[in-house]
Amino acid sequence: MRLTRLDHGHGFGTRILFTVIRWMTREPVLDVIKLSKYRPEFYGQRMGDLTHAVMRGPSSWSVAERELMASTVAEALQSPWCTRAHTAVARTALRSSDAYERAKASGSDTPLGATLRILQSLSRGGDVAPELFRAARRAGATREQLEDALGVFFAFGVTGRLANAFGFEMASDRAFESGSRYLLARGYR
Amino acid sequence: MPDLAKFKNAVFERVLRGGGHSSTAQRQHAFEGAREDTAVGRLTDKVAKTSHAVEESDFAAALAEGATEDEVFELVICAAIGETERRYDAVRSVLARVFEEAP
Repeated sequence: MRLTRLDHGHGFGTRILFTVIRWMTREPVLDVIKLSKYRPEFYGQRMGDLTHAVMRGPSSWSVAERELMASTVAEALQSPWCTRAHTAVARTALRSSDAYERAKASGSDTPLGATLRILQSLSRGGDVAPELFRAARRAGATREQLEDALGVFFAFGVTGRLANAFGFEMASDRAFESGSRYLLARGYR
Repeated sequence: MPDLAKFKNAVFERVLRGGGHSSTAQRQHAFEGAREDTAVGRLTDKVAKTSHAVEESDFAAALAEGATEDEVFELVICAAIGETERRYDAVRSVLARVFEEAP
């Protein structure tokens, strides 16, 4: 990563934890874990609580749909690391690549498809046209669902920017799969 | 969803007003996206607007200017959170207006 301290500045207990992770997964520790465990009282703990609430808290969106939203935000932000990570989680949650592709291609006349279009536009950086929200409303998306989707945007708007800025090193498919299983079993805290 | 504002405020309170290596004023500037003609200012601006274009040289310049790694760590985080919060706030007001319209 672009700051040496994010690779090597962790406390003794965290370094032990990283050794255990490396031993159990036979893979390097994912950079997102190194970021969240570096001075966790400054950023990682509270942001982890927020992300867990958004991604695993009560919502009428399923976990898989929210992970698909996270990968959509990351893709629009041009964050390849987060895109691969959350695509892997969504695929695992949906139990097949086909189901993932079908969900990703949802039409704008469905609540999910219309919501993904809002997240793409928002994450690309331009103004979001009110018409996109009107379309989502016509498609049947409720205000609460759209509020929940904006929560996903907040969590991954921050994380995607940080992954890009700090220069997260791309992990192997195996490491992302292992991370996916962990995130689906334990969440983000 | 649980009260997102509560979780966001906990993050903001810590990164902006808690202890750190950078000053609270520096963190507030990075959060607000205040343009500053310094290497750190250019880095945090890039993090906010075009994070995909950040390069090793942006960090190297900030560190060469005298910032420590911990200061840069904090200011980059504040910039990412601040930009996302501005976009979140703006789009929520669009959402509110649309749902006030007759269906």
